Amino acid sequence: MRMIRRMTTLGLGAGLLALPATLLAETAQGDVSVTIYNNNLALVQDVRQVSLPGGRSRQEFLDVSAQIRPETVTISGDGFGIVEQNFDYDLLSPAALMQKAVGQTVTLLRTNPATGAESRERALVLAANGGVVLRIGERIEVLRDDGLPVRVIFDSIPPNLRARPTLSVTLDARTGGARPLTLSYLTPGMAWKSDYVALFDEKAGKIDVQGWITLTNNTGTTFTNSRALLVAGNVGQVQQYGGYNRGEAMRPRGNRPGTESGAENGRGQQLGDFHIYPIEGRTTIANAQTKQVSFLDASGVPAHKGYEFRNGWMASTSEAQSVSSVLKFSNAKAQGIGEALPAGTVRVYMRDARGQAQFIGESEIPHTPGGSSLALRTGDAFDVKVQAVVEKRDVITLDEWEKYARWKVTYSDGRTEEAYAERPKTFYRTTMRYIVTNAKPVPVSVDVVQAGLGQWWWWRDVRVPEESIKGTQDNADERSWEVPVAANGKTELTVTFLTPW
Amino acid sequence: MHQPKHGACLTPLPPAGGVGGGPVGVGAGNKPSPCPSRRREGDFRTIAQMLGLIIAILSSQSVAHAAPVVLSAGPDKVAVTLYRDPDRGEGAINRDDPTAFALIAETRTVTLPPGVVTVRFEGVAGGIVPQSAILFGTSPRERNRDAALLSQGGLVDAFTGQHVILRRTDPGSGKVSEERATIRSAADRMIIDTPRGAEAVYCTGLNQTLIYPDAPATLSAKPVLSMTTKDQPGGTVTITLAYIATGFDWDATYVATLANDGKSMALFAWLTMASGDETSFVDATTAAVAGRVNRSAATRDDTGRDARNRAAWLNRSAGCWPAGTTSDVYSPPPPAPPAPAPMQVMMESADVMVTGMMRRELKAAGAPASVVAKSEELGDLKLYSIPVPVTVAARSQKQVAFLQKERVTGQLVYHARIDEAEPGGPQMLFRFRNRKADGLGDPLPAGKAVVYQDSGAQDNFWGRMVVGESSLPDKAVEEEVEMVFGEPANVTQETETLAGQGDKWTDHRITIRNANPFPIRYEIDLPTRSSTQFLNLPGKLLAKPGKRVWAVAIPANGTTRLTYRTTPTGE
Repeated sequence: MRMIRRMTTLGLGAGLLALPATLLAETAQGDVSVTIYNNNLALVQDVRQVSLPGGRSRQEFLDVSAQIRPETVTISGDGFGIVEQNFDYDLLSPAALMQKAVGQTVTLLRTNPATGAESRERALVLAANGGVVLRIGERIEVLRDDGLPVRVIFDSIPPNLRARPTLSVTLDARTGGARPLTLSYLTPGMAWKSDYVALFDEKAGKIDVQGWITLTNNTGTTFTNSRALLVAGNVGQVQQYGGYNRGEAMRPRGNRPGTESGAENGRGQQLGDFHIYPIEGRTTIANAQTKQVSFLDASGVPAHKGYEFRNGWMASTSEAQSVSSVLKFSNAKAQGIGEALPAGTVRVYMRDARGQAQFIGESEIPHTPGGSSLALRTGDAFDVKVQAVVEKRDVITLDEWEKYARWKVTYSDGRTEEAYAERPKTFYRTTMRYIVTNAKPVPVSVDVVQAGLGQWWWWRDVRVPEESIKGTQDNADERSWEVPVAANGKTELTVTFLTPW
Repeated sequence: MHQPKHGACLTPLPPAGGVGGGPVGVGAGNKPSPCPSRRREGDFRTIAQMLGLIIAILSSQSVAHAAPVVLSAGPDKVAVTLYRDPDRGEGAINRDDPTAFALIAETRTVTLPPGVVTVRFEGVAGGIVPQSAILFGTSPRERNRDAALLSQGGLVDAFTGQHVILRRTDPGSGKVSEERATIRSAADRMIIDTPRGAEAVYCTGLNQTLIYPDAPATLSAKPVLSMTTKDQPGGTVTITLAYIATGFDWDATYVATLANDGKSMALFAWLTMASGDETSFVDATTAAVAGRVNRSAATRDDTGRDARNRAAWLNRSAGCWPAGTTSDVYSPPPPAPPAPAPMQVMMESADVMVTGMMRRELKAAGAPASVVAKSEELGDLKLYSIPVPVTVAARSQKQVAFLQKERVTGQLVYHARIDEAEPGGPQMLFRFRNRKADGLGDPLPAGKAVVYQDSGAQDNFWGRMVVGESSLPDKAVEEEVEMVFGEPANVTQETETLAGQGDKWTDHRITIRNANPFPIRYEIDLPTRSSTQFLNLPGKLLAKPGKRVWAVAIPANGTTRLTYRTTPTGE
């Protein structure tokens, strides 16, 4: 049971009234450890000192997560066996109370609105289906149909109607006495992710990175004075529909997972395949709380900025479009971070002319092992733009012929005849022009990427007979060019594609 | 026990760490207290700002996290940088609920006792995204943002299973009676136990309410941001708290005044800033960032929003008798959504800002703005900072000039575009190149433009006329800018398909008539690549990226024709 604990506080100075003493709801929790995963899942282990009588007894566990998954509850301890586990979620409400009172007698207390005079009657509840039908003496009446105030007093509250969903366990103890009892269960409503602050010094080509673990508790329950462990990874929940990489394709080029263990400098440790982040000491994770603890602080990490423009299809853009600004760095040990980066949001800041840190954009990252190369899109460059233009497109027929059909005929006399058909290879020739402009007072280099070159297998025969800057075929679908643009200058890249479509 | 040196009044505050912390700050109005209420921030802030109020807490139990709580009531200095919603496009700012955000950097001074201390930050923006907070000048053990709110639902939850007083007032006689009761369930389905039995307190139709002995320490009026330090020596420290807050937006608003000859315009631009937040930032160093900033869907405050919604949308009689008349009669209507705040477009007259109402007086050449925001490079973005401190008031819109160009030379063009076979209706636009030589040469952030022209009447009797409204995307220096502002009334375009249609081709004729008493320039854009091929065009066409342009000068009251043939390209 909760109890009221009175405490006094000393007032000082002019006020000097003994300030209102407080209510301190004492928790029923014991020694709590919480292990929190990224995907809205937490494992709660709660060691409670419970005094058990010998033989069978029913124990209620209060102050468990309000979102507990009751089927995951396990109870362990010495000297007892579990008879049954119950999770009662028939909640006490006016409607539930009335429905349980059907067939029973309640007291009606009427107050005359004019005089205030009270009158009392006993009534039998006949039904509670859209209006409560009552038998009072020899008449049948619908409760409060006249709109006048009536108090309905129930003799008692049925025992299984609860204020909150309640976990109870029937135990069979060999001997009576107090003992520790470990209650463990899974609950949604608690999750964590990382938030990174990256302060970018463009002149020095360096970033300072701070990493924070952000933990949120929406379980409806406060975990008092608990030990908390955060595990990086989506653990224990199989993706029913097969995971898809949301936004993966839209990440800029230059992201490459690393192979370093990555638990060198920060607070992280490795446990099996996972990185774990224990919170130092004990902490209270209050309901509706967002808690942050630091796990990484690295400075002077080499970083540089790049520009990327991606044309998803061989199409023209009606106006020049700003290219993406991409911040590139590595979390390798040699570069100063040396720590795996759990999934989260990186917010990038730069100092303005007055030295004040200004926000220049943010990007989400997935779980990133140590030694990875990161390329984060922070935003678009105001002054660096690309306009893609389809200059020409026509059909050409090469001297090359291709077989496209072959057949064999077997006659009734056993004679066979083979034949095939040929046609000239047909290509489409598309000339693309990419106009890259730079209104910045410094030269820049822009990675122009043309995508959509080979999305299906019959599109794979793509040839590039001419290009004004040597490009790189990154994969079947994408070709890229590093286009240098002078300060306040313009560079035009022209490329001719031969495609079978 | 730490004693405030100037302790005029002591208000113990709960540590934001959570339950079981310490004594309650403010009683629920049951006793008159000489101390200012925590919710009357106005009085409180000044005292706290002067003193750097230190509150110590005595606890009967030694709980590790019951660190002394130091209140930081407000910032000494604040800087606000607004960002534009890149996805708003050409739409206007939603003043009631601005869709972008601001970076708010607050400099705060706090005096800490030695040891582990919890510092509560009050007066932060209501739209704070807690996980984005950065603290410069300190490295705390942990930071917390608590959103368990003091509300009817919060009180009921906190007192479930405990004794409260049920007070009933007889509407006829005014007689008040009180009774002890125990709360048995939650606020939206409340059952209490009295010595007589169990009752659904909000289903009776009587005038009754619950009286609580105290406000629980763990509940607060607003979500509260706090930090708990490591063991530290104490003393006065200056902390910079920077965070992202949602509910802000800004836009560039251009005022273009075309010269009568159509060969130049005066261009003036406002930085229009909107705050939908409940907190005012007084004398703030204010700036705005232009350019597209990448955002993450994770930068938002779900916990705080959920807590506010849960607290706001309590329906006490939702669980009353099944489908009974009770609930029909006495169910209070759901709380109305908050009334839209009156738009405080006008700022105080003492402000240096010129407001929209005064735009009319802004002549093409006259009435220069005395404060103009300066632009600087911020990486690949543009930062416009206002050189004087300004107040970013709660729920208000404010404008500061950032561009003033008296004469930007360009060209007034009547323009049509062919997508398939025949052109769409003509539009008027003013085209200029954004360069110094033509009188401009500054970055132009995306925004709306109002285009005016002097009426041209004698003595400018009618003042200026609005000729249209337009919008611009972000335009860098040296780019060509086209401000499309309206459809002409005096220039018409007639299109017809000519007889003699072939198997795979069609002949078209466009007739353009200029009813104006002055010559105009007319242009038709032809795409270089579409499903249609254009043949038999007149010889002289301008080549532009992705299109060819047929451009012609039409004399005053003149007529021009264009004939061409189209044939499908087979694509």
